[in-house]
Amino acid sequence: MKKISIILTVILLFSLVGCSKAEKKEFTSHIPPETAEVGQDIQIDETNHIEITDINIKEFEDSKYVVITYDWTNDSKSAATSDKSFTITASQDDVGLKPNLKVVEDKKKLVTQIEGGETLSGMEQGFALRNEESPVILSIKGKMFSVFIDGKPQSAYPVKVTVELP
Amino acid sequence: MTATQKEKKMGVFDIIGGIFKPILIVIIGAGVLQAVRDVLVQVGAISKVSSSYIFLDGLGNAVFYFLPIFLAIASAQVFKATPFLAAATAAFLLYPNIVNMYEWANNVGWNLTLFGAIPITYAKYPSSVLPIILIVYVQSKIEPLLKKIIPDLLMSILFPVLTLFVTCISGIIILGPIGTWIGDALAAGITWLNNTVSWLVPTVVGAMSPFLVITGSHYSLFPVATQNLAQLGYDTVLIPGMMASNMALAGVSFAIAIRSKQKMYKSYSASAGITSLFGISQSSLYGNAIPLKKPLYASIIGGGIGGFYAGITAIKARSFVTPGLLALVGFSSDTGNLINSILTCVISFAATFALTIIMGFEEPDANTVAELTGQAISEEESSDMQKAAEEARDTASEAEVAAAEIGYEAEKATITSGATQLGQDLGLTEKEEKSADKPDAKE
Repeated sequence: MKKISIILTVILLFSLVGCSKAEKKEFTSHIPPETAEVGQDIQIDETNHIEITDINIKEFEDSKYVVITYDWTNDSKSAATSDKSFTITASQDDVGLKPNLKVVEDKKKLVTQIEGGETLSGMEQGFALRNEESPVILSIKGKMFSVFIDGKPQSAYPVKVTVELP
Repeated sequence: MTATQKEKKMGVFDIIGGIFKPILIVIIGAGVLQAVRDVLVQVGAISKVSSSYIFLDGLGNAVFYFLPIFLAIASAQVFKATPFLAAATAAFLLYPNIVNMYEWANNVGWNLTLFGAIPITYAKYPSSVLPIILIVYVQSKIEPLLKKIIPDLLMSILFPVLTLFVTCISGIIILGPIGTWIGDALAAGITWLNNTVSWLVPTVVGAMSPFLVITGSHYSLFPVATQNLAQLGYDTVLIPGMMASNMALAGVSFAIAIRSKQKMYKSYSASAGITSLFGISQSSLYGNAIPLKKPLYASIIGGGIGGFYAGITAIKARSFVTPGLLALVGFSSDTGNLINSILTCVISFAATFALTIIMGFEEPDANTVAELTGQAISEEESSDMQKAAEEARDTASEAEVAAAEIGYEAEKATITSGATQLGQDLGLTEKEEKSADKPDAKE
């Protein structure tokens, strides 16, 4: 019995190592850029495009907020909403900024469904600023879990956009 | 003592131990696979950028991600609730759409509500521990009430519907966020402590990690550690203290593996010790420290001592790694830091190992060991248990015979006394009874 369990363990280990070397099929996927700029059409995954169109600072209840305005294009063949398609978060000095939707004009756009091929313009998100000097780094992540680089899977990463405050 | 009284007497650790005992077999399996994954990556056998890694990572992580489902079934057995309804509630909390909705709402600042009026607090349910235990506890209280009020005819439909509805809703509104609130308060406290007396943080984390893991609130310290790594390039809050604690738990397991008199428990403890060395300490915690209690105290003291050393030498983790021996790579930025990290491991392990041996522990019963290891009891142990059971049965039957005799005598005495009383009341046997009583009494 002991021998059998040792043999099984060895087979398991060899198969794991063997599997890693036996991959011959080449997989491909869209590889999003690591960084992008305001005003650029950013393809964040296979089907979603984001274009940041405006950056504003708003004051609300004695706090300052950065409000980003962007267009989202759903390039898939089916209808989708933003909450299931991408996420935008923000940080300043490597500290995550707390989101706040009280400073945006129409938060319902975040859950508005658009058909495949359509663009939803004027979407907004707000984040409480830590200061008005340091740039804000936006992290835009699509719905892919992994990307294939040189045929090998790798965890998907967000596209970073550095925003100088007005 | 009745079953209910026994339940009432169960302490928090007994309850937690009872919940974790049956699921340790999967935790240890997943823990070993996580360790194998890390070793294969370290030796270069597999790449982190490969499908093999993703599969192996999934094998190890899936158990921890879906831990609430396992906990739900085990908690239901402890609290006497319906296991599969409890599992359904856990599955509801881990349903991808719900998990993603929580994540999205938290990221954009959207306030989630139920029926447009009841606010829902953000909570992270994958890998969580406390929320599901609380939810199943409440379920165990709701079920008897529902059984009382639902007519028998509608029981098969209404009972599962109402149980699921009430537990799921109360779960997401009140019970689920409790773990988040505790975790947030803990993270705030640790951050404050780190800004005030930074050397104390690894001491506290080293000592208190078992409780952080039990409540699942160690996950709340992850953002603090991540932020430190991003801002400062190193972490002193979470990884050094947790490494001390994991080494302490490894010390507990190896001491038990050496001292235990039961073969299977020795084997279990040795495996638990190995996985703890690699930073996956749940099997040591729930299979050794918590059920035997004294080793838990030893691990708190040992982890605290190791954490204290980590604090005064200010060791720094340069990457976010599972806090075990392989994590030492993340401490190797400079020789001094690496040496102090190794010493932290050695001190935590040795102190706890020695304390466990000195303090001693009570052997768990054979059933507990069989439950932990998921194996049938050996023939030798089975025959010992059978002998013990036969002896207990003999003693019980002797006691039964004695009790029956006492009962018979008591019954006879009652009848005699009743007859005497009746005779006296009727005035028929007064003289004869009195004269008859005396010799009886003498006898």
